[in-house]
Amino acid sequence: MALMRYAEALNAALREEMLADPSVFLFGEDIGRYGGVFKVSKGLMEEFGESRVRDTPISEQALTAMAVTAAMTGTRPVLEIMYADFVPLTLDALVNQASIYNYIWNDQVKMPFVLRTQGGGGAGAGAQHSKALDSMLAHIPGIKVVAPSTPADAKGMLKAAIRDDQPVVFLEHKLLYNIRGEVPDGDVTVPLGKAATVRDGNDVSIFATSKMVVEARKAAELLAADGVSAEVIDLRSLRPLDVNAIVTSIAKTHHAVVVNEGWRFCGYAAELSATIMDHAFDELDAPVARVTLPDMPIPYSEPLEVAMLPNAEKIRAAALATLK
Amino acid sequence: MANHPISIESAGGEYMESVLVLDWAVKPGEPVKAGQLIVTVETAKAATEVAAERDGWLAETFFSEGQEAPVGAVLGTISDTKPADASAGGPKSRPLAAPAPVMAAATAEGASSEAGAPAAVAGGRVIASPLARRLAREAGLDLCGISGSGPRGRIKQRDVAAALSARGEQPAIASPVASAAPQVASTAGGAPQAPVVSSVTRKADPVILLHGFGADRSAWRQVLPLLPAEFETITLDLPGHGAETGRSAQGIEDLALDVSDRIEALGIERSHLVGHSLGGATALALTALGRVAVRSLTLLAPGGLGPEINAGFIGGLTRSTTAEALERWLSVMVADPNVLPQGYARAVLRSMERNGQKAVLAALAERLFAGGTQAFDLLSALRRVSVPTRIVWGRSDRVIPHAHSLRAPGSAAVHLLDGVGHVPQMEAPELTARLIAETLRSAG
Amino acid sequence: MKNTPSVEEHLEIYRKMLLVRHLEEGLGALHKEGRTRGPIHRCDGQEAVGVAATAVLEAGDKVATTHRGHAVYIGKGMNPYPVIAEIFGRATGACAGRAGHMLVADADKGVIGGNAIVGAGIPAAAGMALSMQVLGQKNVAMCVFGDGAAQTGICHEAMNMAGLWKLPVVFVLEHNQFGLTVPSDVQSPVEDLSVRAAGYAMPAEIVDGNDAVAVYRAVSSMVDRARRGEGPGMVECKTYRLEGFSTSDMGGYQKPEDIASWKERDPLLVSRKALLGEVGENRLAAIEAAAKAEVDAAFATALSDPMPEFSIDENCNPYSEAL
Repeated sequence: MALMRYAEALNAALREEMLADPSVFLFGEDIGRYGGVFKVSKGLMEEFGESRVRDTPISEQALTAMAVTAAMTGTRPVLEIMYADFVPLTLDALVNQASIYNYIWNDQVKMPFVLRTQGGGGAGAGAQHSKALDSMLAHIPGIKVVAPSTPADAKGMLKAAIRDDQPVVFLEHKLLYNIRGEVPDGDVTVPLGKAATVRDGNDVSIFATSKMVVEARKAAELLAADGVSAEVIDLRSLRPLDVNAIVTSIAKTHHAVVVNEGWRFCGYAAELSATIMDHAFDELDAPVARVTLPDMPIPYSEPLEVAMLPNAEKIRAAALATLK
Repeated sequence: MANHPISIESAGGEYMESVLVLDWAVKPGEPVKAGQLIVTVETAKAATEVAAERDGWLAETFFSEGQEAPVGAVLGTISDTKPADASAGGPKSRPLAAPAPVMAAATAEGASSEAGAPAAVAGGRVIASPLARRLAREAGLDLCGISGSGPRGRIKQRDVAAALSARGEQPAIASPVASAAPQVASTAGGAPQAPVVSSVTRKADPVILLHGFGADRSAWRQVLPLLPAEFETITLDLPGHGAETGRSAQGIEDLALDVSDRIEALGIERSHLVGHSLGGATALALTALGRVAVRSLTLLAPGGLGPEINAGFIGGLTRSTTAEALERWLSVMVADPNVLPQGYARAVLRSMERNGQKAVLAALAERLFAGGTQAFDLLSALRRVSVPTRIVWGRSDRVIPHAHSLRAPGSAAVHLLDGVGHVPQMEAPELTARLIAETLRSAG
Repeated sequence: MKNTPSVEEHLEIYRKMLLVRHLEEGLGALHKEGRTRGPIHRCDGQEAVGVAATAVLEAGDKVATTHRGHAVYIGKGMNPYPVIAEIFGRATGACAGRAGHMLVADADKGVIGGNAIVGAGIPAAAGMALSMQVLGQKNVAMCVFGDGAAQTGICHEAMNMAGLWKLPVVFVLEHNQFGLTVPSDVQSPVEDLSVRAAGYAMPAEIVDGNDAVAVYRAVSSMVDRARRGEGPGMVECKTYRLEGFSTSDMGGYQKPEDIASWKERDPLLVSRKALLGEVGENRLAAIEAAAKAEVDAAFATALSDPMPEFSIDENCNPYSEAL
């Protein structure tokens, strides 16, 4: 075990996979000489050279489309899109290209590429640099979407994502890069599609991903002071979703709070609610509570942005309301 | 005046927790004749008709058309005398529902917006969480009378728990049929389920019916209505079967001891025994045990009279993972597979998988029938029996050879049925019922 | 002349162009009978571009093409039969009926593949070239794209990176004068779109797209330099779309005199004329009869082939366990 920051854990994963497999290469804006805006690829160009670690022009649309065909012709590209807010520029490559070929071409090609990006608010980055947009990505059949919340999962899941033969969107969070945590040494992968119970509880289940897991853990502490035993499940993977973990937890607590840093309407929290209804309706003792962004752009000024984002206190309030 | 319950214990709901009331053929207050169709219910195997057991008047109905009723619940009552006021149609409160519905009051006052209000709104829709609904359904509890403590008066799990606990404290129920009402399956885990008793007053020694391996007490559903009314019948699930999957048995003596304990716990000292297959072997072992005085024995294709048993059948029963596979094994046990009701295999499989019964059965089979050999010999027990004994066996039995019957002592009557396999009570219910009745009556 | 196809190579190009023409005409006839499904984009009159450009490529080279890609599919080595079976949605189609005529692929042949998002083939080929460069392979990627695709933003992004990184990719611009119904001069301020290549530091050449030999020569020299690691190149092939945008096109916007004059310069006629002096009428007639027979047989077989059966794609399951 080693104590690492989330960004360092990602860096370690990239480095290990590049050492192990010469077909892995990185490209993206500012990732080479500068080491990435969030320093995730620090030192890798020096170690692996300019062919395998490429600084690119500001061309998200073509970069993503190129990752798709590079992946189906023998390489395992890892593309960094600096902000999730720029992902809409890449959507043709994801929706019309990457997601279809494996099926449409009757399994003639594999599509092993990873699109790393980071989203989420709380850093005063304004309406075009603060969104999660995870729901939009998880909507696309044929693409996996994962969002680890700890350094250990960041490393283990990035390694698993690079080795996966399907396209994987790997969602990071700008406020997670500096968190520290124990990371297992060596070649340890974390499977995509398995949730983790990060806190056991009996009264209410809180489901979250990415930074919202941090908020959910804080909420569980607050709830403990309220006399409520909250279970916190880090879904880790939005798609494929570990529905069994969800059902198992609800069968114990009979109350569910779903937390997502995206918008509410047609959002990931809505999907979780519907999934719970599909698979655990008769276990529910209260309607599923959603904690999300309100349906509006994210403002800049601190009190405005803080008022908007889901946080531990909002999760606590939702949990208490479902238990009424 | 006495009211007699109309029950669906044996109406084919064996692998279900509840049945759906489809149609009352008679209105409350109308006269009924014994054998007349009273009510049709939907079970796992489609519609089942329930006929009146006696002449009288339909006194009350507790479940209306379209409602679910727990298996074993009393659907209504037949009165010996013409009810004084039978004009009020529609279901009344069920015998197991705690307080009377307060629907009218609640709606009239426009209540129900606050927690604690009775959980009903205009139109009679009960507001309850899915979990509360499921728990109430499983416990046979009517939500109509429960106050919901959740938002907008929603009934939550805690409200159902409170109602059930109140019911547990006050088992006596105000309804006239209360004393006659069979106890519906207890939800308390581990506790033995109360046996279902067909009538209350014991006029004669009761008849205890023991089913075979892999079945449950509903195995007798075709035969029970055909038995003479003067005999009280009690069907029990053997350990590891039906509702008794929590009880285990190491061997045939364990089965006999367990059943004996439960019969004694009912305050029964003397009884007639009817046993099928493994239940027949258990009946013989129970007789040998001597704790309950056995008045007569009717053994249908009983185990214990020879070593052979169809190992493939036993294994297939416990190992089948699809309804299609199970159906092929189930058809081995009957001479004509057409007697198996539609959907029977699926229902059996679902029940086995839901209750975790499969593993229990497989373990039991390993102890009782390892290597295709019956691990117990009850021939000497049969030879010592001094009460009227009748053995009924299908000549087409492919599970246990009917030739085992030839080892019976001269005092036992042996009936070999043509065109019948291992399950006479399902394949030839009339004849089987008649032979049971003759055994019962011959005991005097 | 350097990079000129041999007579035998030219004959093979001619044979494949015949296959494509019979394919297109067969589809047109079946469409009139109501036996085709969905829109079909024919490339009658443009065969020389797709066939001669891909004739330059080696087996390990890759090509991305457009929704009007039949000439590229056949040119890069696919037989008419799996293409036709795919167009008719048969289980025996190149993609088992999942792709349809716009998205045909045969990965073993390097056809990956048709693309019906206009412009998407350009970064697709650049991405393949990127992969070849990272892996140090001596292969080349090719993109056949139209004058409509040249106006997309992604065209600029992809060509910029191709030029910047000297990717082994050749951009073959099949300039057929129309983006759907809108003529090129209403879409672009410049007539010769390849003047833009200078902005990406890549060479470009303009050729008669109806002359297979001219196409072959120009593409061949670009492929050679790309294979040598000298970076991308562009060939602008001037041609004309004779049969409208698709089978759903109502027509009326193409001038009859334009169609007539382009038909006089049909690429099949151009090649036949050139080959006649070299091999004589009998050899050509034999090739023509064989091509017709091959396509007729492919249609007959494909149309009697079984339809595919639907099943859910578990790779797309949103849950980590099947439910």
